[in-house]
Amino acid sequence: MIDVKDQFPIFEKKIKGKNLTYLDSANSSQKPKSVIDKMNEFYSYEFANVGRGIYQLASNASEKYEETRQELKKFINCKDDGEIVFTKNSTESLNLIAHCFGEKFINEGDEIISTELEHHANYVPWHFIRKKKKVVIKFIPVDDDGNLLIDKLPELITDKTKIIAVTHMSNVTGTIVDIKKIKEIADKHNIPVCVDGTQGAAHLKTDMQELGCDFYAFSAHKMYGPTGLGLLYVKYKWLESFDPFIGGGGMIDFVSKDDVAYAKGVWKFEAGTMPTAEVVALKESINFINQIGKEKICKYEDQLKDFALETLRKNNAVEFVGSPKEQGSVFSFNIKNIHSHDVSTIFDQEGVAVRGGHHCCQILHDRLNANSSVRVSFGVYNNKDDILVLDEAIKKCQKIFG
Amino acid sequence: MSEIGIYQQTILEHSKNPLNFKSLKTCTHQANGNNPLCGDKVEIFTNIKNDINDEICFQGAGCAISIASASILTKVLNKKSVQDSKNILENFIKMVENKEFNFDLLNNEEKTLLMTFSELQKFPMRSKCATMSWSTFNAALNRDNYNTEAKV
Repeated sequence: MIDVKDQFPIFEKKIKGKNLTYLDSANSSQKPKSVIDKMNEFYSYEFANVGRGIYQLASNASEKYEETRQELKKFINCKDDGEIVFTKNSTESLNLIAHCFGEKFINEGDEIISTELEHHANYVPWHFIRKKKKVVIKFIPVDDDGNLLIDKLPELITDKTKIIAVTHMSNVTGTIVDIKKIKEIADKHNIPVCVDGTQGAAHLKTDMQELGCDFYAFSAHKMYGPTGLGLLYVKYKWLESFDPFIGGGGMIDFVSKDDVAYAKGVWKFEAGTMPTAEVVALKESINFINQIGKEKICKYEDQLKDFALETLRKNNAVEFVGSPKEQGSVFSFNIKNIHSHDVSTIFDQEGVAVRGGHHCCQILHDRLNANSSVRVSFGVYNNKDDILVLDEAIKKCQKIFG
Repeated sequence: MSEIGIYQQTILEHSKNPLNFKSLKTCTHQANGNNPLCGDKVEIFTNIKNDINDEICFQGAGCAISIASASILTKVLNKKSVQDSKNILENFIKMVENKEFNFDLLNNEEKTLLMTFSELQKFPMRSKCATMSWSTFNAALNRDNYNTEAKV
């Protein structure tokens, strides 16, 4: 049992006179007081732009900004082989990779391998490259339960395959993808692997040495941190070979009327004023996670998910969208003959926050024959009572729709 | 009536047994609409004869509110002129979006039917569910000289 709900001010709020049952952490997690306080403190007493001014305030702010980068490197165990780039969000991190890698290493007739599980954020940027460079995107299929059929990967690979872009964990079915296995296959052909870790980073063991991937995109706001801040792990060899993604201040070495030389390392990718307070406050999110322990969080959320599935399976009207063998703390379902948005509206009256729709995964919904679904996802603040409230809310929908 | 006003009997009934839920093999006007938030789709057909909607049908997949709204559209706008239809649909969308509107062209029964959706003013995130079929129908009416075989 982890009991941290009282560290999250949002749960003091009543929704239509009821307690908030927040089951939408896969969308974005709520924020602990320590993170909110840090934002407030930084803006109140410590703020200056980073990497520019040389006065003390600016110097201290720059130091704090870089401290978070160091904490993140420890958090995902990226040692000396890689670096962390700050972006706007996980979507921008993936766009950065697709753009920088695609511009440099993908040519007409080449192939990209994606999967049927992907969020639009790890598909649309590759689609841009497809349109621009006339390349082919192939998909590793899933089975009816939403398991990714990695055994099909070898037959999709050709000498034209330039990159494999795959999620660590589906934001719809919760399918956990065996990145190590994909990496082993990719290594035989010397193909880099780009991982969408948006769900994985907050809910799974995230060790770059163990996963071995070339790129890992994730975001602060899904790991109890601020919005407006994306994160990207890039292996050094790529960092140096890429051209910049966005041009402007802060990313240059020198500028003349004839030419521009770019900054080295991560700074090449951090043009313009960055979300400074957000980066500084993210350190508190990492502290929050570390104090409880990532492993303990994963185990706890897993138990909650198992209890939820066990509870909901007793209801014959609940139809799960996928039921993968390896599943993180996310799952989706429909209540027979009731649309997900009608369910969400009725849930809302009970203070239950879930997401209805296709969750930015239309390809996966098409594959699993669902127009849309209701998604339940857990965070460290959830408990068994939330699941009992969910169960009652489902019954209420059934009653209304008779 | 349920305690959530929008899920009234009228809407539940129309969503379970929608009127005119079919495609037309041939028609004078047709249009497709979708809601990118949820992937819901609607396709609306009408045969316009002498400037009157002679037969309006729809098909699609969506939530109770969107299906009921399309069903009620086919009932209310059938046999109405193109000009009146445009006026009514504009005012319907205004009403759902909590703007000033008038239903002067409707009789009391029709007014009551459309006013069922006024509850959506309390659920702004759902307004598109109700208005999708109406704006799609508007698109169909605005396709001048449209007169081909509709997709089936």
